[in-house]
Amino acid sequence: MAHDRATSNPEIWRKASAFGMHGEEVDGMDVLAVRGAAQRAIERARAGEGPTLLECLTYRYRGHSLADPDELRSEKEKEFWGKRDPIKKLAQEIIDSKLATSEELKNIEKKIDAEISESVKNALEAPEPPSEELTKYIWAED
Amino acid sequence: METHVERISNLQDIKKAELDRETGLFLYEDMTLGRRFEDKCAEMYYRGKMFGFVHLYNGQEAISTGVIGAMRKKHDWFCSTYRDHVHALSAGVPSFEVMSELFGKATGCSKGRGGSMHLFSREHHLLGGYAFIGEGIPVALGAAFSSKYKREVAGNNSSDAVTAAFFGDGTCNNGQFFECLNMAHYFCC
Repeated sequence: MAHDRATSNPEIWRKASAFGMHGEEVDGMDVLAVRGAAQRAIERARAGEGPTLLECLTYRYRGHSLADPDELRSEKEKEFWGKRDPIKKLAQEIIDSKLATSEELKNIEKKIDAEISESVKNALEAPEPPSEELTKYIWAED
Repeated sequence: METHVERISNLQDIKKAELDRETGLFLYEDMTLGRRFEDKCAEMYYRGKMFGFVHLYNGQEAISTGVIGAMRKKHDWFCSTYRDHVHALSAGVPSFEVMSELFGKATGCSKGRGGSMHLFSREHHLLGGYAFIGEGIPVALGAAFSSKYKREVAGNNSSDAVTAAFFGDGTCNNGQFFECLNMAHYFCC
């Protein structure tokens, strides 16, 4: 459900102030913005200066779960957020700043795809938990 | 009241993290791993290799990578939700262990007992995925309190681990969210 149909104030970060806590909102489709806000929050926490409520404005590209046909959200809304793909945005920034070439980024994708294929193959071949160990790990054993 | 679309469109620029080659490639690789892994999950789910519900993270990678990528692996702590695959990957759990868990295999990070919504790794300080919303927040609060307790009561000055709890907008109407906000600030400051 859209958050503004479910809550008295959809600006979640402001709810921190009721407890005297620091809150911040950030573009959740921009990894450098999230990283910047996270670095500030982590620094404060590590120094013992308190917690942070960080609201990252974002959008889920698929349905709630794989059983959800995702027919209820408007195409216009999906298109708006689709243009803000965080991975494409970072790729563009890296290329524009001449920090790496698109070729290098493609090689990273190839490396990842190979790693995932290998993981899937090995996981499919891996053993099921033996049935005689059905109750194992329910209680601490060491 | 501004809509979600209006809010992000009108967002003021805040100070972003610096971008250099090493950081850029690290962030790109981590986000790409999250996206490609989830796409592969969808494929394997529709091929009937997974059971139960599977919730994917596509579109939200900047949050897992932006937050966990700024934290110290195997030192800081993480609590996730039922949408937990990518948080586990960013925290360093190998993709083989996550995929094994999704298949219910003994080699999974939760020994095949957890499945998609209950990824766990003591080694990588992932304190769990949780099937119900809001469940991870009090656990994260406890982890954060233990860091503070070890430092201030037990006198361990090296105890400086930070804890991140991830949750969605729907969780923010849940009582546990407000109770934990109250205690997190009260215990700390």
